[in-house]
Amino acid sequence: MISLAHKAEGLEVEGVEKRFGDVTALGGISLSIQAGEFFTLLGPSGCGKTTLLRIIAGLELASSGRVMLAGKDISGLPANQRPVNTVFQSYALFPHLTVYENIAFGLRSRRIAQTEVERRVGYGLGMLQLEQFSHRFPHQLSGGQKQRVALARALVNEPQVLLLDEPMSALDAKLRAEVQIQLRRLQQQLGTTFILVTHDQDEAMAVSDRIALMRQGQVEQAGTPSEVYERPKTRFAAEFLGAANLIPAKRAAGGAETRYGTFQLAEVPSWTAGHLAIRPERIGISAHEPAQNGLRSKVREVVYRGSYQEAWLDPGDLRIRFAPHPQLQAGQEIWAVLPKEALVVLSD
Amino acid sequence: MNQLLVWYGELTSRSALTRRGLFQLIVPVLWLLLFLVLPSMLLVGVAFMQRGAYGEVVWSFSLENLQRLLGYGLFGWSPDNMVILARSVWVAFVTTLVSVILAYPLAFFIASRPSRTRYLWLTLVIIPFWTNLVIRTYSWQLLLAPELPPARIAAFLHLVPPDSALYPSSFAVYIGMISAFLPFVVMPLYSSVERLDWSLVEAAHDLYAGPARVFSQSVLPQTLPGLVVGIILTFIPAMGMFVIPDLLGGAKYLLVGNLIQQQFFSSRDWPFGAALCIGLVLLTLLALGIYRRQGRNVDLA
Repeated sequence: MISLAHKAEGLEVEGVEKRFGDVTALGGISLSIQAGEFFTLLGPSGCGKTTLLRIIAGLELASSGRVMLAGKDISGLPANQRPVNTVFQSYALFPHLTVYENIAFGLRSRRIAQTEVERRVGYGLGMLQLEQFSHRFPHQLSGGQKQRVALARALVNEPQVLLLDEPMSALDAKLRAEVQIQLRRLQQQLGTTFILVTHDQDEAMAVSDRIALMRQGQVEQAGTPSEVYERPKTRFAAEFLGAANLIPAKRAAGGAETRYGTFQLAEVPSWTAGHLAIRPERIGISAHEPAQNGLRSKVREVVYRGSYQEAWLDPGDLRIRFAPHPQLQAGQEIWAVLPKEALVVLSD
Repeated sequence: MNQLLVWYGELTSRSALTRRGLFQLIVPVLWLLLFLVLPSMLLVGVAFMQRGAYGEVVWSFSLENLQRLLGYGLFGWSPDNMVILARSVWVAFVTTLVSVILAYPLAFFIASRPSRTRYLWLTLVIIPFWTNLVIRTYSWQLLLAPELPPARIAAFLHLVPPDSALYPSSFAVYIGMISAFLPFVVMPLYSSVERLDWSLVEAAHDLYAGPARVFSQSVLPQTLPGLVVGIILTFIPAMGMFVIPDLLGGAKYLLVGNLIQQQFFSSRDWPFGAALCIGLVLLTLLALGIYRRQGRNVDLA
């Protein structure tokens, strides 16, 4: 019962479909996002993640299905009546208004008393370290500052859900990594439900409580970052989130049969043929033949990456990643160890 | 002093650039001098002359025309000229206002068409320009004739007596003016609407703004450049318009344009016509000055 009550506070997407003419952008999506959760819609461009976000925001209407917020159906409400705010990809700051007035915009729309506007905008400026920019116009700000203004402008309205549409795509890589951490801290501090749309899998893993990996208008897999990363269910999931070695395989007694021999598996799902997936960093190396799941290999190529080294092994073109020392040499003969708990069966 | 510098990929010097700039300025400056400054000064000069017995300009200084402009004539003060001037401002104002109100939905309608049909709609807006204004205005006379539906409907609603035309009347003048000037507002406005950043509209909507606030805070600021051009292209010519009030307004609905035209043609009173012209120019500048003060951050140029 407690879990049900908790669920009612969150956001439910129930069988949401969206068609543009004959094109189906979303094919019946159902998701349950808990209150206070940092939830990420991850996927390549055109997978429908932004469309789903816009349907939650009320900027787009679903062709069918509904969106429930805290137990109430909000599908029919226009955007300006939903307790949901958006940080747009382009930030969409009003160019003719100062930072202060941009942040105050939503409060003024709702005719909130001036003293309260001042209090909340002041809080928003402080929360995102924007005090010294309050009288500037958007064109006088850097990309990172604009992004913070967009965040403050949405958050001062105290939305039940904050929607973020690729808010970091305009930032350079270094700043992006910093902002990801800040965003995560901000979300934990406020306890607001955040729904982030991104195509960047590192970003998704860094900030999210849960990720929904989307593909062609469908949710391919949803779960915590480690679930989705370590136990991908499909080939697409395995390859989209980080690097994966895929070995064609079919079911065999006690494991999986591949052209390199039979491998033991920790879990044997019901399957007949497909692929075995293993992350490069999960493959071990050994000078001696291991008890099981060993593969006699020759190092073909080594790339030194500073914090790790990466190598490609023959046969199988296996990619491995491990600590930078001792350095591996091309041409070296080794045993690759594929631990059974790191091998994941993909049925496609 | 004479440093070398690179100007759009060309190695040159400051003084050479200045010389070239001055040289290139000669033609436009001459053009303006010959066709704007000189005629304007002539006009100002003529305004202080007198009319001869046969309509010729008598070259003797007089303030009589300016007095007449302000309403002091042979028979004492009369408000006629003031009324005509005020009416001109009012008609130009209403024409501009109604054109703007009509142009917004039209510009959005055209901008929202698929690109294939969009140019068709734009062409439809421009088509009236393929016909002379006088001919278009005469066609309004035909359309507003007593036998045709507009007049019939108006008579049926007891707005006009039966079997009477809808012109000459102030209504007909407004119809003629608005239809003539609407494209001048639609075209620049369309160019602004076409480039509209819709994410700002969505942001306003997302931040709880109702339709009026969405318009005033996101559509209006973005379309202001086109709107300003449209207003200027409409208001200034509308102030001096004489063809439309002449054909659709009748003898009693004079605008300052008609008055000026009368002075130069039928009355053959160039000095008074010139004085009226000055009055019109001053009034236009005054109106634009007020407009500029209202929209402080707007650059009229």
